[in-house]
Amino acid sequence: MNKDFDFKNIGKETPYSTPEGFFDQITQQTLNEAKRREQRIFSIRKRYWFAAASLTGVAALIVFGLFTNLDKSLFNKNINTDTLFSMSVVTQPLSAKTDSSVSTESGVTKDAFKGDKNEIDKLLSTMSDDEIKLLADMSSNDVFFNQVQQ
Amino acid sequence: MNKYKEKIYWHIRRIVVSHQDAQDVLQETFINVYRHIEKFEEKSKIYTWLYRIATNESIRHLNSKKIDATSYEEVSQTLVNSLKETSVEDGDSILVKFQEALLTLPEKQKLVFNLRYYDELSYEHISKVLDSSVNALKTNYHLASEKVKKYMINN
Repeated sequence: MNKDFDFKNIGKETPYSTPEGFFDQITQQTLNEAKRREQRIFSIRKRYWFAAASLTGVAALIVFGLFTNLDKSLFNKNINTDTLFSMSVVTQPLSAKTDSSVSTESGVTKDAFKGDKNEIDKLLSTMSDDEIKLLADMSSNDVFFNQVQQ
Repeated sequence: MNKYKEKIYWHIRRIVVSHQDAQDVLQETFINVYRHIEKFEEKSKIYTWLYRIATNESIRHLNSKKIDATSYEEVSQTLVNSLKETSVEDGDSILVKFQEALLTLPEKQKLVFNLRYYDELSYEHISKVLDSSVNALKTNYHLASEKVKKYMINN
């Protein structure tokens, strides 16, 4: 057993060897391999772009088809809604059309009071003078009612 | 490639042992170099960069083999068996034993020892190859040398 091992006895040598002419061929082999991979990548990219272009085309056709049909259906729908609207105008009561004419902050329309005038007159005719006086007093003290009147 | 192929091949061979594996890793290294040559920064020398890629590719190759093995020791044993198979014809037993000693080292120590002892790279260059501090590399080299000596005396 060598008790004083010295690295100099080994040197830089290794027990490995290479096949004959290996270093002469490896450069060309590597270049060929690189070229082969490049072509493979190119072919994969080409396939990818073809697939992407096909999908885009199909998607464009679908979108085009959808819009064309949508336009047609919207056109039909417009006719129907127009017809319905004209019918509704004819059949709608006059009071309903005046609902949007004037609105107050409280959401109560002054026209609504006018529409109910006959009913108020009827109600007042059934009341005695004292009751009407009491109602007039109450209305003059009613904050909400006064606000509407202003 | 012609200028560095032999040095890089032997560096890889000492890590992966088998010629076929070393050839594959060498090809992979140079293909990577061609592919990423524009990323090469002039501040490091080209051979430092080459060693770095070759080392990383070799480790990646060994790690892909590690999937079948359960431990680093098992991988080392596989490499030692491969060494015995490939160098049986040459028959220089002391050289085989020396390589056996290197293959039983932990990965970092093995890499530092190979780059310093065989390739004679400076610690500054090795630190760029392995992303490690000079002091850590010196320690690893010292430990590796001691272990190799011990192995050579005891086996």
